Amino acid sequence: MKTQVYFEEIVVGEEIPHRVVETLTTRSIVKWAAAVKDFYEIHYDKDFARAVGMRDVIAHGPNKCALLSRLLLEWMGEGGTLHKISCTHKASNFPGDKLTCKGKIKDKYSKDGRHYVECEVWVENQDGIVAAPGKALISLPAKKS
Amino acid sequence: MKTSGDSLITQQMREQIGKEIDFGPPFEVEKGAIRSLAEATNFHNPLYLDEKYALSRGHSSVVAPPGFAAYDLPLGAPLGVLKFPFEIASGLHGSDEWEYFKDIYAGDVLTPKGKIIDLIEKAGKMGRMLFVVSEVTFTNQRSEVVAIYRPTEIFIAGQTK
Repeated sequence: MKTQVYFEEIVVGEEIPHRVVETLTTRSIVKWAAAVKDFYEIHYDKDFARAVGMRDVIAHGPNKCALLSRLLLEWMGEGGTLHKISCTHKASNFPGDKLTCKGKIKDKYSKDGRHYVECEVWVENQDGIVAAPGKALISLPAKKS
Repeated sequence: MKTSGDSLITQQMREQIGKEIDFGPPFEVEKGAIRSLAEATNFHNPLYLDEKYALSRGHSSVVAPPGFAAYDLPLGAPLGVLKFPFEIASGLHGSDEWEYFKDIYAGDVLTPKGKIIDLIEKAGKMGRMLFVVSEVTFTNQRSEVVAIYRPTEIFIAGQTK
């Protein structure tokens, strides 16, 4: 069982004390393609990818959004709920890229009996280039509800 | 003959905003598909992979990871109704936005209903670009809205037609 994070423990401005780190491979990209059945050739056919200006096949954007979701769910524990997540795909990622998913607490508030936390989240590569900046809204259990 | 000063967004295209378009038929959520998605992100959460565990936590079966509803979703569906006044030089997936309302379980049947909600023209380093923002609402077999997905597809404009 993972540890549960509680609303009272959240400090606005702090970085989320968890990271997801994954190194992309052609295999990992193809696994994602098969899992969601997105077979656009740019994700597995190097010749096709090069013809449209990429140096190699690229990861699917939604794959990065899913890794950001994993970051939040692994961190907050099963008692937390992911309500919203969004991210923009600013840079392409290629096999060999080491993706690190990080987050920061932007705000916390209670409304209608739920305890919400707004987070800034992003995926960066091994050079610190932010490939997918985004934001999320989660809710957490409170020790004293 | 269009000139380069013409908008990438025609009246025909604007008229498509808000109209329902086909984002695929209802589909059953399969345990194997849930496992494949969990494995594709190295997210080995027992809620996705171990039915006994999921049941012990009060769920009706294994839970689908976030983003699952986009399984086999035809992201290019708007191209079926938008008549572009330009050739597409290339296409990119621009952004993702998800709202989640209910858990999705193996055995659920999800129905996608979608529409184009915005068309935006921008100029960038790759040239003139059209952003097509869609909204797909997923409803389960109990008529509960489980998730709303708003993907943005970007089309780089080539030659005008």
